Amino acid sequence: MHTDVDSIRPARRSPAGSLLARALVLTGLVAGTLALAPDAARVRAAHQAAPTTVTIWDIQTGIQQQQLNDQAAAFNKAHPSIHVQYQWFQNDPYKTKLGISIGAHQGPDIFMGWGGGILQSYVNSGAVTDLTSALGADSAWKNRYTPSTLGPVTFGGHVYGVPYNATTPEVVFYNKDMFKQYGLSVPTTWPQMEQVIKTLQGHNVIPFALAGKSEWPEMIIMQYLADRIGGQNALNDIALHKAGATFNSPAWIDAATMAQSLVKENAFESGFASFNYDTGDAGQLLYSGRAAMMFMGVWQIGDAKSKSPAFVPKMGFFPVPSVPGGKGDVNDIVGVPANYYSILSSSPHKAAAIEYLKDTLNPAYSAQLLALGEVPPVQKLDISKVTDPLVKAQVALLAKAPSYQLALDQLLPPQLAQTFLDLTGSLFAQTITPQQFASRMQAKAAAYAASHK
Amino acid sequence: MSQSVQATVPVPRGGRTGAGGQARTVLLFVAPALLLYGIYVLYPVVVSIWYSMLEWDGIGAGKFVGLSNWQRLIHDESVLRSLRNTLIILAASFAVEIPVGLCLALLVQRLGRLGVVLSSIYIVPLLMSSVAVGITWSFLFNPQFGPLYYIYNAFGQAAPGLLGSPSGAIWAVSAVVLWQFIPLYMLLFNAGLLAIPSELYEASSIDGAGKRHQFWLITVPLLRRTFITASVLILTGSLVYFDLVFVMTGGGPGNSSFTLAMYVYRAAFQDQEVGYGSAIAVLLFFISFVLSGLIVRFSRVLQGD
Repeated sequence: MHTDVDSIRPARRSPAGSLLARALVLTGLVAGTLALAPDAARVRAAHQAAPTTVTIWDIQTGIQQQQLNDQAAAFNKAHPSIHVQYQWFQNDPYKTKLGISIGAHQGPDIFMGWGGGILQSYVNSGAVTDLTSALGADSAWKNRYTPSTLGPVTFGGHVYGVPYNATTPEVVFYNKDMFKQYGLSVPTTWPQMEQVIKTLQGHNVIPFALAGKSEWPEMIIMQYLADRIGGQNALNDIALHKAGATFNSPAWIDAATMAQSLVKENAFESGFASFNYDTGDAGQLLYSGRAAMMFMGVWQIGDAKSKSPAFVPKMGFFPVPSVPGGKGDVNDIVGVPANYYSILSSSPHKAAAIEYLKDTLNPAYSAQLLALGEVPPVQKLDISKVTDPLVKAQVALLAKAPSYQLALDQLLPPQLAQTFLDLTGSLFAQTITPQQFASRMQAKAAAYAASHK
Repeated sequence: MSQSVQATVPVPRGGRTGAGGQARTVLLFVAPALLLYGIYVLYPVVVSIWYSMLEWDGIGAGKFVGLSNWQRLIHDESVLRSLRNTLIILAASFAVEIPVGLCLALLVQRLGRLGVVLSSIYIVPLLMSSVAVGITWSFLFNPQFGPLYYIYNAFGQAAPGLLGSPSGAIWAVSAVVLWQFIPLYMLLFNAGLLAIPSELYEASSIDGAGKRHQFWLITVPLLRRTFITASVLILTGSLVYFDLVFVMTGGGPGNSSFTLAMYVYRAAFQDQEVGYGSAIAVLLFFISFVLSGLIVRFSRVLQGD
């Protein structure tokens, strides 16, 4: 869309018609994208020569993309009647593109997703194939995945996707050398954390690097604090629309208050709200030793390996500390249990697509992930050959976790997810109070619940 | 629009076609353009007005909810803020792009060959893609890695994070918008200046007019059409402005730097609230409609035709 606007900015015709036309064009953008898409079925029919072509939309990059391409090539070789074909997209535009394509019935056969609210909204519109009976018919396939991983793709007892890559919990990364240098130990409670922050500031080190422009890194802090204060049900009840579950609760108000007090005591770099996670500035603060800690998913390890190998030996992580008087378990995890493949109902090649899904996270592939330092969400994982301390720590963290909550911007339905992110951004920018955060979020959630009974 | 179309259709030579026949000919010539205009412009507008009365995620079936999207829109603080930010960009563009563009054009004219070199340098920002411009300026504004860090650090101060400041972000982005588009107006005024006959200046200087008189009594009045064109460009560009804001702040922090066009995108495609997004788009349409009406009136008065 922004290229559209870009290209129509300079050239113009007559004063009278032009502004009107511009307004018409913009108004039309919403309608046009949805109404005037070419017929997908026809496009696909053109490709429908033997073998059956199964199209997958995915967003992985670098080595993950290479691995999946290899997996598809191996699969195609083993299944001469099926041709699996990947199409790669960029993360943020992908979400928008997928939604529009599903609406216009021109999506792929298989699409990647995060489970949770977005997938549920597609499921509710009947756009996603129910995999329950296929999984039930093949117990070896079904039992390959750790049960908690299927949570974000299970709605009303029906399963709508399978995991296909590493599990990525969110943690607090820290610079081990720096902690040693300043005589700090890993904090397990929030008062200890406050002490660590003060000590680091005394040595002129930024306590936390934070990519505030992206907003979801701020959300990690909010979600963990809400869990530590209110317990996993502070999140679960809201996700399940349980009666009486509300954002306007002490757990969320306290979490917002604590998050905002981190801002007030300058625990983040100055100007953190302009740091974009995608351009890697926040990670750079951690790697260069200007910042000591960072709330982030374990995918940051891969980023460090490629951008700053010298930092990797100094890199450690710990779970978010407990809050005194809080109901949450310090071992509760928040993060992205996995990325998932689901099949669109509009796919004419469901059987072939299911064949490919049966191949996800197969033993060879899982071993490859481990070798890369990533942890696949599979049962009976063989870690005897693993030497990487960061991988061992992840496996230990996962083994201890009583709950594994999906990141809130994926867990919530899309109509609420962006609001949560925006309000979190405003909270961290101190333009709203914790009470306003809670009441505005609840107002939006209540309006959503009322219209989706 | 219909006026200008009729004026340009040639009357058949020597023909004594009746009024009905001429209308049919006109219609025939206009039909292809009208058809495209109808499909790609009028139809989506009508459909958007219809969508604005639906509650719809863009995928399943929409539910008719009457004017409830409109009620919500009136009370939505983000819409007000987006409108305010859009008007900031509009006002800043008017206040800066026209005078600075004109001054640069005059400077370039005065300097002769050096002016040609300078103007080629000045138009560079206009040639770059907005995304590249946005990313580059984000780096320049970055308070930890950008040049500001080193300047402030030399004085023992922390650099301000302009793009991360709820009150400053929209102004920082506006400054870059101005930087990018001033050259366009320089080019426009340059062309306008070239069209003014030099005899006027020669004659007036024989009559004893000074530079200031020449500027206000010859240059400015004869540039009025260029002023109108520039105003229209600024209005149309600013009202639907999207690119640099999207790249540099993403509307943040919070909702503090959203423009209306960005908020349409956010609501319709990211929140999957196509009905609500359409309502905002229709609001934008009405604002543009009113302003375009004003501009048409104003330009008729100015042109004195």
